Amino acid sequence: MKLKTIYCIFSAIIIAVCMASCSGDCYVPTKARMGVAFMDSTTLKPYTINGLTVQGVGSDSILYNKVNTSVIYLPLHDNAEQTDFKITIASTVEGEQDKEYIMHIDHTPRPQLISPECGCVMFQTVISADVSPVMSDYTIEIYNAEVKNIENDIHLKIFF
Amino acid sequence: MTSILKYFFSFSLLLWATSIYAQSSQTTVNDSAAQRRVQLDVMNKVNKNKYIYQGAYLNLDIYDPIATLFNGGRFQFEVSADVSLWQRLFPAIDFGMMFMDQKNTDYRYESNGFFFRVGANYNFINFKDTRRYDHILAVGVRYGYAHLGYKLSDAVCTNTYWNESTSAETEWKPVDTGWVEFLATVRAQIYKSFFMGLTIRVQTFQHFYQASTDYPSYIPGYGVYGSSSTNWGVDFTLCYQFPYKKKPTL
Repeated sequence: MKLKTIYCIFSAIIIAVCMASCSGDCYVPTKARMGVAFMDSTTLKPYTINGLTVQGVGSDSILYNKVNTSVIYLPLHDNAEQTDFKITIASTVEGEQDKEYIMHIDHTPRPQLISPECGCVMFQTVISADVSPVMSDYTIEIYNAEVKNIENDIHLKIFF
Repeated sequence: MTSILKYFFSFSLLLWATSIYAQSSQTTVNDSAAQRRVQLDVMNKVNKNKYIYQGAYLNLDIYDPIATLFNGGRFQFEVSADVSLWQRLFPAIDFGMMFMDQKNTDYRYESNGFFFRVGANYNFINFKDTRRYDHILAVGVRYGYAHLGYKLSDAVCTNTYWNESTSAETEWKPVDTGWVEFLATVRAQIYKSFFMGLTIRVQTFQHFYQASTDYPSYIPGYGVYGSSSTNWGVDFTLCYQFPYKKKPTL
């Protein structure tokens, strides 16, 4: 193979690779949300709660509005070490009021640079979690304390 | 090893020359030339497969310094050395350093560190002693290690639900990490002792030596650290071959 051909091939490859390294798009999630799964304490399988409404205390925006689900994903404060959520469970008995609870989370925010394209995401370390007033026959388990930008990741499990 | 070989075939030559002299009472010019050919044949047969050392190479990667023009704020260089054994096996060691200071409106990320890799390549082509050039086409394996420190400052993290924009920073954190690489490389002799090489690497089995909840965004020698379990990289090198004694010819 002639030297000129070798030079051309190598130059073309290096230019192509340099241009490929200039990608400006972000292909990974840029939100860190705490996943809470509701579980049946007897069967250890997902437990669906009907008519579930979740809203952050201090926010006007409703995260979940009367949905039937066994898992929810909640955003924690980036600039604080505790976050509260109001959880409303629709009553199944006619004439009975909906049940309201406050879920309190203690956590430590940690900034993490994902990449130049994706920017910074605030990761969290969950310290503790509780619900008030106390739900009957429930337990909360911190399944995974590290909240990162991984979709569908579970961090708390509430056993009924 | 070279001294032993030298003494061995010198002794063989002496034996052979002595036996030939004892059998022939008169030598002519033609007999001398024939004798020399026979002696060289002996040398070739003795040294066939005995040329273990067939050159040493010093390689300078020029891809990363050029890529600095495109990746904004990260400078990395790498040098490597390898030795040709039988023109088949090439033990190699790589060393490099990285300096990084990326700044924009959303963050400032500073990092610096060094890395090295050790391993070997296996050449599939062009390994006969009668070859004219020293081109190679090889596959290889490396173990890589990096030590770096990093710091994030003036980082703006946005939370759209709570309508927050938080400025945060971290302390300087040291990290030690290792990984395994598999690579394919081609090195072509361009002019005398100068070569050009292209290497494609696949990095996997990355691990940190210390458990941590945080991680750097870039590891020198490895590349961008993320959720993927594998990474890939490219090196484009200019190489210099240190002269070595080639097989004698008639």
